[in-house]
Amino acid sequence: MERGDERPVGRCDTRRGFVRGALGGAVAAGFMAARSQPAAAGLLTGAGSDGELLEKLLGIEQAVIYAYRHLIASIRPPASVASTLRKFLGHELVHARMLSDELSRRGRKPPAPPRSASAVDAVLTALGVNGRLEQIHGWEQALQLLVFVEWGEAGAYHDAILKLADPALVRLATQILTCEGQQSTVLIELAHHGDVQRAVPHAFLPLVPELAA
Amino acid sequence: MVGDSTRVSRRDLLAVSGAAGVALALAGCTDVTTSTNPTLSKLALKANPSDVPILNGLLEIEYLLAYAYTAATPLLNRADSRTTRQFLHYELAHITVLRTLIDSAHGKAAAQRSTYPLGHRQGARELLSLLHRIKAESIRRYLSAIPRLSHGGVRGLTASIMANEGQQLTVLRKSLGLEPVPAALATGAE
Repeated sequence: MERGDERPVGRCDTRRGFVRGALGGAVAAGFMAARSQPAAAGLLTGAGSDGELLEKLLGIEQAVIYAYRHLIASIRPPASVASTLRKFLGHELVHARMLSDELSRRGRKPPAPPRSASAVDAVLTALGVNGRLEQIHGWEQALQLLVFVEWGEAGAYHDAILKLADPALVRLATQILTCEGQQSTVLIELAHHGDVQRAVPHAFLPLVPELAA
Repeated sequence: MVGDSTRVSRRDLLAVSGAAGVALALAGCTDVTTSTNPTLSKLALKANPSDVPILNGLLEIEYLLAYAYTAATPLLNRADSRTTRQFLHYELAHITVLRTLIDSAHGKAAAQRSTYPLGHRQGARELLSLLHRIKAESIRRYLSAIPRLSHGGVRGLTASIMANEGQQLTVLRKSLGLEPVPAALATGAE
C-alpha cells in the first residue's frame, strides 16, 4: 500500500471527507447534499412506531427502485454494469416486498410508490443525495449517484434500528443495511475499475454520528 | 500509519493485551486508541450491563478476525495483502469500539487468546477461503447478537460494524470468484 493511499482507521473523518476518500473528485462530492447531519434521520422524523418506521423505509425503497429502473433504461450501461444494476434492482424489490409484508401484518397499507423522477429526487434529497435523475448522463455518473443512494439507504436503516422495537424487524433492517453496504462496495468497484481500497472506505457503515463528531 | 515495509506479525498481535495496545504495536498508529482518538473518546454511548455478555461474544469474533488477517497478510500477494492489511485496521477499530462499549457498562472485556486454531493453509486461495469462512461466521454472530441488545444506540453502532463486515465479505467473495452480493438479505450463510 502506498503511504499516500493509506486511510487511518477511526480518524475523525467528516462525512464530506469520507465521500471524497471513497469516490474522489468534485463530481462525486456534488451528489452529496450540503448538510452536516445524516439526512436519513430527518426522513424518519415523526416515525415512532414500528409500523410508521416500516412505512418510511418502504417509501425509500420504492424511490430507490424507481431510480434503478430509470437509470437502467436511460443511461444504456455496458452489459456487465447493466447486469449488476438489474441484480441490485432485484434485491431492492425483495426488500420492498418484505417491508410491505411486515406492514400488512400490522394492518397497514403500503404507501403509494413515486410516479415521477422529481418525486424520487425529493426522497433522494431527504436522504442527503443531491443528484437529479434527469440530469444523469452516462453510466459512470449513474454509478456514483447510486453509491450515494445506497449510503443514504444505509443511513435510513441505521436510524430505524435505533428505534425499532420488534427484534425480528431489527434483524431484518440489519440484514438489509448490510446488503446495501455490499451493493455500494460493488458499485464503487465498478466505478473505479476494481479499486478495492476505495470500495470499503471506512470501518463503519454508515459513518454514524458517534464516530464522526 | 503503515507502509509497505511494515510487517504485521502474529507475535506483534499477541505481544500486547488490549485492542488499543494491539493497534499501537501493529501500526505505530494512534488513530484507533481510546486514549488518543478524539472520535472514540467522545463516544457517548453507555451500554447496559446486561449487554456485556453479548458484546463480549462479538469481541471474541473480532479477535479471531484480527488474528486471521494478521496471519494471512504476509502470505498473500501484494494486491491481496494491501486489502487484508486495510481490513485488519478496520477490525482493530471494531475491537476498540466494542471494548469502549463494554467499559462504558463497567463490564470486563474478554481477553484475546494466545492463539486461535486456523489450521495449515496452502496457497492464497485457501487463505482467502479461510478469511471468507470466518467473515461469514462474524456476520452470523452479529445478526444473532444485534436484535438481543437492549440499547438502541448500541444496536445501531454494532449494525454499522456488521455492514462493514458485509462489505469486506463482498471483497473476499470477489477475490474468490464468487458472486459478490449473492442475496438480498445478508445471512452469513452465503
